[in-house]
Amino acid sequence: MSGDSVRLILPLSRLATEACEATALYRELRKPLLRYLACLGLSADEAQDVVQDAFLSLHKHLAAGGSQENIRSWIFRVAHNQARNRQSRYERRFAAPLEGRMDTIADESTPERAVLEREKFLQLRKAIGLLTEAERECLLLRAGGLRYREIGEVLGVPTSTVADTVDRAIRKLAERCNV
Amino acid sequence: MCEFSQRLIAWLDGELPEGEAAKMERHLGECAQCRGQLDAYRQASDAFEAYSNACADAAMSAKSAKRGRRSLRPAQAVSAAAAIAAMVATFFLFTARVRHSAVVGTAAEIGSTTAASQPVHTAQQEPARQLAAVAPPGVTPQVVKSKGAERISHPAPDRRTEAPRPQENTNLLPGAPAVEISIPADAIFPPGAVPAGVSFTADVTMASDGSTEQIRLRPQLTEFERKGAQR
Repeated sequence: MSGDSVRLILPLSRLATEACEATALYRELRKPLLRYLACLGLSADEAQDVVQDAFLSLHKHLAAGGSQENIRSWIFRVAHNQARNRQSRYERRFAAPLEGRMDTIADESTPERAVLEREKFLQLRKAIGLLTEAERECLLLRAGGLRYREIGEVLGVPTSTVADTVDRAIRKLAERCNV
Repeated sequence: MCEFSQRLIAWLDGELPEGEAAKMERHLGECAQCRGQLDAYRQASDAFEAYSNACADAAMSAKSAKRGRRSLRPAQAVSAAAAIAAMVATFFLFTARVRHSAVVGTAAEIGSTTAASQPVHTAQQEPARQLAAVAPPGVTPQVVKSKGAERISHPAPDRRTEAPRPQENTNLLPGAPAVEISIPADAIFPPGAVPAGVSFTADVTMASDGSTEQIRLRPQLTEFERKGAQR
């Protein structure tokens, strides 16, 4: 190239801050999304793929001038639907994937795992297994940090239905776990 | 049964309207039965979360045990890179749109800086606008004169992102200064978001008013570049 070149030294902090706002969503939501998908029974690889696809869809949505509101529920809904589409084993329930690994989990004596003492763990697993699909999904999304309104948007039900479902699910767990 | 008990879980989740929440808090101060119930619900809720976290961790660690730690398949690396590129491109498109109003002021500012450091050059305004569109509002870039289209890179551990880098297909004026900015990937992306060996080149197309017409981020697998597949 013949002309003079201009070297530009930008204060990066400002630029980085703004870029971080764009990736903040990714940072904030990636892990909850992965957890949610894993709990729906997707393998780790499948979950990763779904999350990547969901963020690509988000990009297209935003680039096409789509609404910037309710992004959290938007991306959870996309991931949720993709998980359902690609998951023929969806019937393999949330309670089931731990079958084989339960022993290792119950035996690990890290502080977090100690919460789940074996006895309680079995009870809890049984209780979760007895929840309806909608109840489990509501609780999983709630555990992912979503508000009732957002959960309703993901699952396509009114907020009041979410409130009722969460209420019923927690009561069931509390009763059956005898906690 | 206490009438308040129907709303304990909604209150626990912070989903009650303010007035009702205040009533609930007053009530909880008085009603031991509700406090007991609340405690049980809270425990059930925590137990569920612990269970789901354990479940997710088990599912995730099953994979890392199988595949080893950081072994991204090339296809996966590309898809990850594409997703990240898409996010960043979205960001730039948004900020570029927002920035239009700020372009003129900043352009003048940068124009004078550029003129001062490069008094010989005649076509200052155009590149100045290009810089302005790229720079965040309120940021006054330091412009350093140098000869030749030299590539500057801030050393970044493992990976780096380059933006924007004029190519033949951009509409820079012939002979106009090339603008190259290197941004360390770590300054922009969350840690671990960019797989090792992936970097980006951004092609920026400028409109005549200095606004950004198009930004295209091209993910590049630098590890595979030595095969000569690129450009």
